[in-house]
Amino acid sequence: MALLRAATRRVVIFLVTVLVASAVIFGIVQALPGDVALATLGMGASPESVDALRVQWGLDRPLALRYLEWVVGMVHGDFGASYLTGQSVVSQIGPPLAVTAWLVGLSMPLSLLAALPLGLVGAMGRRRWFGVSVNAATHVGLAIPVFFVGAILTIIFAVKLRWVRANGYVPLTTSPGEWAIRLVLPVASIVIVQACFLARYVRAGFIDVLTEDYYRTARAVGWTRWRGLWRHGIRNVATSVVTVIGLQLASLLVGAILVEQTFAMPGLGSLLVQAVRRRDLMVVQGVGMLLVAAVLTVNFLVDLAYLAIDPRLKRGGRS
Amino acid sequence: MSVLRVRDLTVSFGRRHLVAVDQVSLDIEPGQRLGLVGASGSGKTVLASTIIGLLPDNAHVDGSVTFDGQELTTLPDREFSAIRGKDLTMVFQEPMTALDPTMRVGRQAAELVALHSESSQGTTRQLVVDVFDRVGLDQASRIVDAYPHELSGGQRQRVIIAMALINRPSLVICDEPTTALDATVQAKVLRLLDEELASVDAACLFISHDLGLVASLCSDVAVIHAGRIVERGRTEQVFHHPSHPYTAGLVATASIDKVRPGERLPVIEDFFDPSTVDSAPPSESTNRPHRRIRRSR
Repeated sequence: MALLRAATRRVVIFLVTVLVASAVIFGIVQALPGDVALATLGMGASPESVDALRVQWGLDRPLALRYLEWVVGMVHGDFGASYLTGQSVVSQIGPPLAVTAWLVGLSMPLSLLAALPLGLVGAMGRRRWFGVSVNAATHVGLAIPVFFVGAILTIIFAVKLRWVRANGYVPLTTSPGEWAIRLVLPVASIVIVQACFLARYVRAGFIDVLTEDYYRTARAVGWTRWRGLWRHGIRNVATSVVTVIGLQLASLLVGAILVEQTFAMPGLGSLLVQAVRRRDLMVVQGVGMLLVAAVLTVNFLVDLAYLAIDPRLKRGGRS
Repeated sequence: MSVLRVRDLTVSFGRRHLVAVDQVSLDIEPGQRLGLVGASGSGKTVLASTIIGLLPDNAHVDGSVTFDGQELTTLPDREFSAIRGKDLTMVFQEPMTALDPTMRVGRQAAELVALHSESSQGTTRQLVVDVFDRVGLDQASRIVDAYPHELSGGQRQRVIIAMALINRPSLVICDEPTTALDATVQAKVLRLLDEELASVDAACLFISHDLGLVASLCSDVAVIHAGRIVERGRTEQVFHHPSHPYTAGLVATASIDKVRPGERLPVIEDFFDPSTVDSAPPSESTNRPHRRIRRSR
């Protein structure tokens, strides 16, 4: 029953947040300077033609009415249509979403996979040369902007060695080979930066464990240094790393734009920037709502992960 | 042959080589129980950590520790880990924090068996339940599935004792095993330790600042002060006829019931003037855990 109540609470919070977010997004988008009709027709257009276009797109009607229409539409799965092309927002978001989802969905797990050993080595060797050098390397990796990493990787692997392609995107369904060969560098760029970022949290988590009494117990019962630290430290590390991954996932969905631009990939971030530039407000609102939903979902999954990781949270009591 | 043989052991820390244990030698025979008493910071815990090989990275060790004839101070970690938890085990001071909070206690105990033998999972669980039962954990078959935070301090310390005994070690190091427990639980845990050590025929190095505990559990006692063993002998001999003034002070300060109302409580310094003795604490002593430290070499 407690579970059911918690689940109900979750759903209510989710709905309220989405509603509030929709109002905020709508408000901000409407407050943006510039006007889609004006932006479409150009600065030299006569006021009459601009007004005519505004009437044609329904922009002359009251804000509240347009907001209501938009919300009701979304409830029915209709996110509106682009003013410019008349295409539905859903069909416009689909393909870029796939690009970004692949990019983020592949690079986050790989980043974690790289960060775990880096952080473990950094923690265990924090007073020795190998740990210090790993730690220094992650700092350097963190200091380099992701587009710069992308540019360097492009020069080496796409221009000089010609192993992979560094521009554009081909859907998986069209050609798996082309898809893979074009995703390697963008994914690698994100992984390099993200792994360095995550490795710092992994390292800090493991260093905490090294000073814990239960790590000493683990050693006293016969675990060797490394295996004991992994076995009895990974859950402690997971708690903090899951939090960071949740935050990173959310920001990466849009933040991937730097990589998308570097590699000329038509992702979500690119779509958003393009839509803002053209004042294609329906698309901007749609992407905004999608991100809100994504962040909420990720947060929910993070909370679930906490429960799985730390048994003390299940009954709410700790001593 | 002695189960444990410590010779001229000196342990110092950091670049300045601050000495925490100084030229210590002691032997423990099979099945023997040696009490190690001394004030906080006298080097008791450092000595125990050295024996079991769990000193921090910045420690320097000189001298020799042999266990069942095997030199431990130079033993590689992998081989040392095979001994730890099997033949040489330790009961720690802090039952509240010594267990991994994210793992069921039965599983933590089962790890000891799995690490040191090839027995199958199924029999391991039964073994753990049996040992939990023996250390007086009621409903042992349920407690094996509990997480540490679901147990009381006394229960956790019983789990830790069970873990220290499960592989039938030849030496158990107990570092103030009852300090964190309240008085009634303390007595029970101590009686349990007494019985269980006897039942697996393990020798014991029992570290405490509580002379009463040591007297009730140990046949022999060594007194450590400022990193040095200042006196060693049969327990009743040492406590009734202390030969070193520091020991005399320890005994007197522990016998509070002999103080008449209104009279000032005795302090160690009534019996023992550190400045006149060779093993004087240093003037540069710091606030580190090992307060009585001295520069060596």
